[in-house]
Amino acid sequence: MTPSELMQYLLFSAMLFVLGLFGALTRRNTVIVLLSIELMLNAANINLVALSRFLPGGAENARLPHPSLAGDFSATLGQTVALFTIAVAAAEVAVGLAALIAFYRLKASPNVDEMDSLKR
Amino acid sequence: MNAIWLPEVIVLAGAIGTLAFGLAARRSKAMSDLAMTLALITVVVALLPTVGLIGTVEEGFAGAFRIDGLTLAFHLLILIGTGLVLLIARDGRSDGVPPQYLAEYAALLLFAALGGMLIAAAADLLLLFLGLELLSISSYVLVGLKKTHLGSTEAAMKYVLTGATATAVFAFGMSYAIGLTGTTDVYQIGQTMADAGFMARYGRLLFVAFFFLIVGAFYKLASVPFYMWAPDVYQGAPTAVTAFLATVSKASGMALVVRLFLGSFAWVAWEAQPNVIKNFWSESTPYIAALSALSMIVGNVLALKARDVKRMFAYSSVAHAGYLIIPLAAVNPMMIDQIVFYLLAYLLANVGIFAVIDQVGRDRGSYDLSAFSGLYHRAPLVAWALLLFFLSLAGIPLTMGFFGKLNILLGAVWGGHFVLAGLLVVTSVISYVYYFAVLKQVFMRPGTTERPLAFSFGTATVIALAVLGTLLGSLFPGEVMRTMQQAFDAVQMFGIYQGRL
Repeated sequence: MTPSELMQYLLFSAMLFVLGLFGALTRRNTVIVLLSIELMLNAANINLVALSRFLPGGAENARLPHPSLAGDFSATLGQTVALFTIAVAAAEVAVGLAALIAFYRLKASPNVDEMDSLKR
Repeated sequence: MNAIWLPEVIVLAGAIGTLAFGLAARRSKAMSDLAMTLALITVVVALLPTVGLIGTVEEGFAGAFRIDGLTLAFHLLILIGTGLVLLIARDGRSDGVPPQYLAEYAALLLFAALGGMLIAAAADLLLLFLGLELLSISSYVLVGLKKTHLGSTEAAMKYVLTGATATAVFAFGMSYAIGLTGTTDVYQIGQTMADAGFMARYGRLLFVAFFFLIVGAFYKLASVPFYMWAPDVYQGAPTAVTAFLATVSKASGMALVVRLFLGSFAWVAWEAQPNVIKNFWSESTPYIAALSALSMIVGNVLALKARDVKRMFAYSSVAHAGYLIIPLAAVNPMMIDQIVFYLLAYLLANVGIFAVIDQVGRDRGSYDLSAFSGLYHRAPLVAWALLLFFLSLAGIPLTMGFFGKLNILLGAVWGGHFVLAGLLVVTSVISYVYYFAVLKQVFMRPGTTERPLAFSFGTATVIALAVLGTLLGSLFPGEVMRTMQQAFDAVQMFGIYQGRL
């Protein structure tokens, strides 16, 4: 992986994030909104893993002209943080789906725009 | 080595204990009540080591966990807030929360408080993130606790969807910050950014990272740009949970923003062009000032047309978030003291008001403004207490809230933000309109009934404590402020500049 390829990964994750944000803001179905949020979180994971290859302990860092990306941790930092993000995302979706089931029992609709009982 | 982790461990043990207790005692009303009491005892016990730790500056767990003045001040705010909310929740059983879930109710409140405490104590981006998530996910469940009530589940749904989006935004910003600097330590990130040539190379991406982190963190504060969830969630949630979101959750969000902004980003300076030194604080302050100004305006204007009292307080809390952000835009020597003092005044007044709202709402079955009509004739003492809380929130001179706002105002002027200072005054005057709309109902409108309104023990205790605290802060603001400055020296937060500790 060269620095220009790193740019491709960063652009890809940025696109993924924007797609996810777009989906989260425009989709009506709650399940799809939750899926879009997963996309946004995974964009963060791709960022972490791609960038951590270039940290001082990382696989690609030795071949870079210095000053490179600074820091004092090994290349596994990004992967480790990504694992935490995945776990958090799972917990969040679990609560989201539970709330959706509770809502669906009271009003048989999964659509975000029909959640309109709270006003003024 | 001090047991710096003791408060957190006690709260964690209490939360797990309460949960286990609830499982064992399911469907036995007396036992469920006991679970609430257990949670309350946990909070009181956790307060003792927190007070004992005052003056300590120490790090643990490889620098991820840090006890200093800032941490302890927010620990106390969070624990006091949680204790008062538990007292309200204990009495608010009939607020539609199924009685068999009382133990889970108490345990989730403790878990959420633990999340807030971890945020306050974290000096590590990953721990900040995990604390934020512990607080958020517990709050989602708390909001939807009345699971047969449409408004509550709908509020929970909205809270989860907006909250998860904010989490994703925060995580995205975090990924840039961690990936570029190669460390998760908040202070280390700042040091790495200050390395020669680093900001020139990666400055733009780090600004993106900062923007995403701050937007994600402002979600917890319910300030612009992430305030849209507040009205619906505040309205749908059980009243005690609303009080929790308005006080403890907001305090935790403030701890997150302060640690993140002042710990790593604010003081970074770099040479943008030869002989042109820029620093992060002066680059970012226009944006933060804009968010603060928008929060004050949006919150106070939208509150004018709210008829539901809980909804009104959601907008009011957006406005207060705007006031709280002012010190971050107008950097000055006492900024953290201003924030903590104002949070304390806000917490006391708000918890007291929500205790009254809870009791009145359960009595009348409605949270409409008119539910408060004639309260003065039904419960005169409580009406006077309510007057004190409202005056403090509105910032009428010689109340605690006034001195809080005065400190922030002076700080804003000191930092050269005259527009923010002016907006603070103008929007405070706007806020009188809707605060006095409630007081008008309480004191001047005849109610449909003159029957005396009995306040239960827990609610009465909360109101009494809040009155006591607000009076203390109103009569001796200088002493309270000085005591706070001595006990929670904010400069300890910047220990890194004297060799980290």
